[in-house]
Amino acid sequence: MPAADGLKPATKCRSGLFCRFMPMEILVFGKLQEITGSSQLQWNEVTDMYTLRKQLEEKYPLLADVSYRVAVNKVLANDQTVFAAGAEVALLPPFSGG
Amino acid sequence: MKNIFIQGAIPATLVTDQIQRHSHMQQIGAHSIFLGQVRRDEGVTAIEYTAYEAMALEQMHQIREDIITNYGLSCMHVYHSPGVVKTGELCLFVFTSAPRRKAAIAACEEAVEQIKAKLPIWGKELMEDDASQWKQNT
Repeated sequence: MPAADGLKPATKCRSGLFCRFMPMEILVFGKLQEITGSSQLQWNEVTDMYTLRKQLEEKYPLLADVSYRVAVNKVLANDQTVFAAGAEVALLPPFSGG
Repeated sequence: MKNIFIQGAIPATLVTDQIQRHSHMQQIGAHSIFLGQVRRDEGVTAIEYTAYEAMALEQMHQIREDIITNYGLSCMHVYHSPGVVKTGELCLFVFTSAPRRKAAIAACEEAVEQIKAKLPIWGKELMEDDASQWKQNT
C-alpha cells in the first residue's frame, strides 16, 4: 500500500538505490530464533560474510556453538560471499523438512 | 513459481485427486508416489513445520526442472506442510509421472532426497507434556 503522500513505505525499499544506508534486515529461522530471540534482526550493513558471522557471534555467542548456514538473496553463501546493498540475508539451521 | 505449501496436514484425498487429474495425459505409463507421514516417536504428538518459503520455492523450482529433464518425466508435483501436522497425518506428498516405471520410481526417490537436503524447512516435534524439540533429519 502506498502511503498517503505517495511515497513508498520504507519497509518496501530493498533496492539499495534509495536506501543506501538503511540497516540490513536478517531473517532468522528455526531453533536459531531461540538464540536471537527474534525472527528478524536489524543489522548495520556489512560487506562480507566473514564480518557478518563474526559480528553475529559476538552479539549472540551461542551461535558459535551451533551449525547454521547463511543465505544471501535466497542462495546459500560462503565466507567469501560479498553482499550487494539491500541483500536479503537469512540464518538457516540444518534443514529438517519431510 | 509453483507453490508447494499446503497449510496443515495434506489431505489423503489430494492423492486420488492428483491421480484422476492425470488420466488425460495418456503418454504416462507409470506414476510413483511418496507420502511422508508424521511418526509417533517417543512422546511426539505432532510436528510443527516452518519454512523460508520464498527460498524453498526457488530451490524446489530448480530441483524440479533438473529432475524432470534428467528422468524424462511427463509431470511432477510436490506438496509440503507448513503448520502443525499430527502423528499419523501426511506432511509430504511427491508425485512423479513418466512413460515408464523405472524413471518414475527413481525420480520420486531422488526428489524426496533433494527435498529433505535442500529445502529450508524445519520441523519442531511437539511432545505430550507441552515440551518440544527440533527435528533432525537422518
